[in-house]
Amino acid sequence: MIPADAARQIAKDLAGSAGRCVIAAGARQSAEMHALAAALNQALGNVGKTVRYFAQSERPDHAAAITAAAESLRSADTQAVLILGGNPAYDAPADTKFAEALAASSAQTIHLSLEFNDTSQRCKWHVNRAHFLECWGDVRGFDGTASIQQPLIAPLYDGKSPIELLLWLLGDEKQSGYDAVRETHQTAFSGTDLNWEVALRDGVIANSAWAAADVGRVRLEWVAALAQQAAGAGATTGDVLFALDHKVYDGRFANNGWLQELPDPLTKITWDNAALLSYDDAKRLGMTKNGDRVRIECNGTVVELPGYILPGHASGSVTVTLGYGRSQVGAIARGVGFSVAALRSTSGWLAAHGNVTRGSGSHTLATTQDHHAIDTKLTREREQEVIPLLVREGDLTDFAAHPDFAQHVAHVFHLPQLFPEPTPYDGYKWGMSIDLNACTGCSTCVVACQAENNIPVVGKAEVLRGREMHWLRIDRYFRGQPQDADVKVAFQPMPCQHCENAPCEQVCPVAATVHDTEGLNLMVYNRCVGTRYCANNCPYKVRRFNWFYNHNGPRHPRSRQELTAIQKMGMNPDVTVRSRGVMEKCSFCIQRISQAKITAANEVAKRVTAGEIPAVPAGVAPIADGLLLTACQQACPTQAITFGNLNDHAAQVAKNAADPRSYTILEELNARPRTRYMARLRNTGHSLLKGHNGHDHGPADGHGAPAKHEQPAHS
Amino acid sequence: MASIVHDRDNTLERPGQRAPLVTGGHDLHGVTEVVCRVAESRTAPAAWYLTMGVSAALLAALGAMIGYLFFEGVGVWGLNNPVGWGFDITNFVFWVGIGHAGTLISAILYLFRQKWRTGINRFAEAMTIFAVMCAGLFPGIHIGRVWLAFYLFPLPNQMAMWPNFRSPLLWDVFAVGTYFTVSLLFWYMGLIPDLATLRDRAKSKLSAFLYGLFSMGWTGSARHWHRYERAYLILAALSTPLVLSVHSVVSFDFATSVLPGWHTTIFPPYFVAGAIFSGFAMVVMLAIPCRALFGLKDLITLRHLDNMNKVILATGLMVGYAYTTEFFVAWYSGSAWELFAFKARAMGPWWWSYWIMFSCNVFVPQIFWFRWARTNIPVMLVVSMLVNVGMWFERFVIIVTSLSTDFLPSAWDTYWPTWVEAWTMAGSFGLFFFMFGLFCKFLPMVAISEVKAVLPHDAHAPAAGGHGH
Repeated sequence: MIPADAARQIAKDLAGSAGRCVIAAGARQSAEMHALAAALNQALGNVGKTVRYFAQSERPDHAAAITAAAESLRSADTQAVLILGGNPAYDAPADTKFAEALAASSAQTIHLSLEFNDTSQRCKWHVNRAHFLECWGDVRGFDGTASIQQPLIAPLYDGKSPIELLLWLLGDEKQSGYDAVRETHQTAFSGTDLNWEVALRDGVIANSAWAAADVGRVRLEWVAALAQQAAGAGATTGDVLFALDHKVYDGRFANNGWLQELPDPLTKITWDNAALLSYDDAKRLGMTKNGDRVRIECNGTVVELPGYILPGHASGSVTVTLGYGRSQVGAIARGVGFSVAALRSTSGWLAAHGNVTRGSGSHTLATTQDHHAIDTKLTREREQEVIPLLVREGDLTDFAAHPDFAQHVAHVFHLPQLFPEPTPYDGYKWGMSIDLNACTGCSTCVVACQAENNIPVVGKAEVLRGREMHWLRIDRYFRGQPQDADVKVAFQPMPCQHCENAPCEQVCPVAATVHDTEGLNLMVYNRCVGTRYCANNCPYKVRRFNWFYNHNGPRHPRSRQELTAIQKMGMNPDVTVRSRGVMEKCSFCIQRISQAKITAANEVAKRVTAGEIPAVPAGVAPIADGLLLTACQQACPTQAITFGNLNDHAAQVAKNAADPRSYTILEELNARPRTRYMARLRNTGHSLLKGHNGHDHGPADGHGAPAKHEQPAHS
Repeated sequence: MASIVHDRDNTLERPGQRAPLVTGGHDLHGVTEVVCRVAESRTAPAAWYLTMGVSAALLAALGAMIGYLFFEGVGVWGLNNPVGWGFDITNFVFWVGIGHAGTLISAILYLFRQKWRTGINRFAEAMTIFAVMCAGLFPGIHIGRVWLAFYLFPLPNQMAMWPNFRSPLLWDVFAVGTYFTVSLLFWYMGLIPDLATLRDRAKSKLSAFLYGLFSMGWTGSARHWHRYERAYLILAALSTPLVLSVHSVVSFDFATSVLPGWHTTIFPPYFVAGAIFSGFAMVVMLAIPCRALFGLKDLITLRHLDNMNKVILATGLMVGYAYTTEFFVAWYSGSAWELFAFKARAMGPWWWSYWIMFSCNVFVPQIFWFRWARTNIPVMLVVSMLVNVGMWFERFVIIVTSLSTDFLPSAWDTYWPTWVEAWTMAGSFGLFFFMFGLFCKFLPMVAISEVKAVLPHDAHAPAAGGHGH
């Protein structure tokens, strides 16, 4: 429930930004709610500016379509059924009895699929499907913009795309997917004037969006039902909400180890799904800890799965995610998670009404944060004290009054240094900035990092031991107690901070972790003997130790078989695979830095040879800002991560470092991290800085000689 | 051979009269007999065979555990990302601490002319050697790539790579290495005159040969004695700073780090006091069965035990003071990180380990304010065992609680040892007791020549300390 004053504030803000704002209703909301959102958008004059409506093409309702499909399978007249992708035997609404119908069908059932899944198992024929990066195709965006899908690689396993399969079934075996796509676009779709090369280069076909539709005025009676719903709300219990899983989606990515081991953004659960419910509901059910099973009954079907108390979750409802507990699946996802498909019916496949009770026993959930064994009153209280120091947040009003409020949170002593800086950092000076305003916690960067840096997947048992290997983790904090209504979530990506005065470097007895002249904190795998002292002394705890052979090795299960050519393609050849007993951590994608340097040097050499520029001394070949991206930065959908040369004034990272929102965490330890965070701003209408007037602490304070501000050095 | 099975109370201070350090009215020959008899007897007490059997089995378990560890990787232990050190370094610091009493008794008490040290210095030194061996084992096996352990030493190599001299772990290598070397030399040199005695009394050719070999041609000439005394003094002077330095350096592993609860200037004196505390407790724990089993009650008298118990009381108070000061400084420093680290120790997830430590190390030794407790064998046996338990937990508390909940709450995690770690720890006790058992049986447990120097002047007078008759 939004308090009245907050609602007034929101109304005021919206009125002040008429035509520049948007009100969106979630996909699970009722038609009435969408109508209400539309009415508000109309009233604010957003339609045509920030909101556009498109007419939806006529198609049957999903529920009706899948029911009809199941019926046709049961019909003796059906001779052949072609299923292009998907896995309806697993995720079709339970009351359609699709899986049983498919298995019992007398028709020739054919399944085109990337993997041999639950549906393939029940079909008479399975056709190997080409991955979307292996074949030609075309798609349309939500606004109708068409895009031609271009393969990156020839099919590794000779798979067929749906287009090719259909061509083949139509008897046109000769025509390739490429021919079909090109022909479609140059004849039927866009006409002969389509410039194929330009469309491919641009990625989209220009001006192919649908025309905006006029929906007219929203009428009051469309939304009248909402008032009745609101009057009866609050007391209902047992709403079961079905959500797509953040990682494995509807189960199609279940057999991907990277995704299974990726902590869920909110719950931090790996290798499992859980029933998410509120603190109050968990107490009412008699749950004592996360992982205690809850029993959900919908339409006479019962599913038991581990419960997880998600602070901020609405009471009276329970959220379950799809995509787990598949029966026909590869080795990675076998036995992982709990299927809730049986609870879904055609009448309630986004949400259903069910009976939620405490199930029997408990299931161990492997989370990467908030471990039960150290969950005491003292640690919970301490966490609440620490969060404002780490994830610095202010209201817009705070920002207006003190733009640099984030730099005055911790009490920092700036002591004179005994020794001069050993390295002048006058060449490249690498740094990163992470904008907490932009970060949504989606964790795409974590997987990108894992793929780029050959980071191993260690499995649930090792995650339970606290041995996940992610170089970059997303710290997730709940501000407020789990039972609070206004609990807030804060995300903070945490890579190696590349401290200039790194605590890890000082303690390594064999000098296996050292600093380079560009400010990178390097890890020399060959030299590391694995005392783990560096990890102990890292205040950010971003170092990861290889407790076993996590890749190939004498004691690894895979050691007895050679990696196939395709398995080898899954590894990045530019990054060393680490042995057992070696420490590893974020390198700021040093392999990409090296590559960018080589490219830049070649570029300069080419221009010198061509006589365009005079000869330059060796090593002077600046990498232009924006040409070098770390893997996490490249993958971030909100561009929260910026990386570059702090000595380059024009570089975005240098501008971010000079931004008043920029701060470093644990600054008081004098480690001088190169990774800076940019404070998060909220628009609550009241100050979020408790007990601070904004200028009590920090560099401006008179403790010792004020160190010079972290500004780009003048060259 | 008067009573060697009864304790004579020689603990009473009587003005004007020195309390005897050897009871039972032994003459010079009697002392030789009492000590050499153990090594010369063809049999040993049943308890010795039992101890050797159990400790040999544990030693075998240690070998198996280390083999398994080397084969599989450090992952067989329960360590994880925030808690990179657990039982391994706890045991290392524990055993180094145990190894403190020997050199303190031999060197510092020697320089301070504490003559009562003569009864206990030999086996306290032996205990030191074996404890440091156990200690050295753990840093050696805890590293991820044991086959590259030589990187820790400053060996010339084709890469022209030195180790990192800024790392306290490297200082440890030197500190413990030096301590072990000097302690071994000191112990062995002290043994030479007594080995010569055993050689001269040897009945079999083999023992004559072996004792002869290791007594290095000692004849007991005045020149030998002169040089021996000089060398002994020099080694005592060399060892004295080592007693203070080795545990100070071990404490630097923690003190020079940035972790709350580790980053503490009080650590060097606090660790040294704790080491002496636990070392003396171990000496008492070993002395009690040894003097009973091998008939040494006249040489290791109640007075010796009483004195050691006083040291335990004194160092226990120092340790308690350090624990309290830590809390005060954590609050006084104004650092919320420090304050939380100490609150977490006493009230956090590991509160029970903190209170085991505090009770065993601070409350339990207070009983030694009472003379009856200091001279009561069962009481001191229980106290010394509890002190060792408490001191083991002290290291566990320091290492594990600080790592478990340090700065960022997102990274906090727990630690629980696996069976491999538990058996490795038990195995280190096996190693220790096996070595110590061999020492008891085959080497002179008491420094014969030194004890002779502190015999009561009138060796034929009835044993003094008639109190309690």
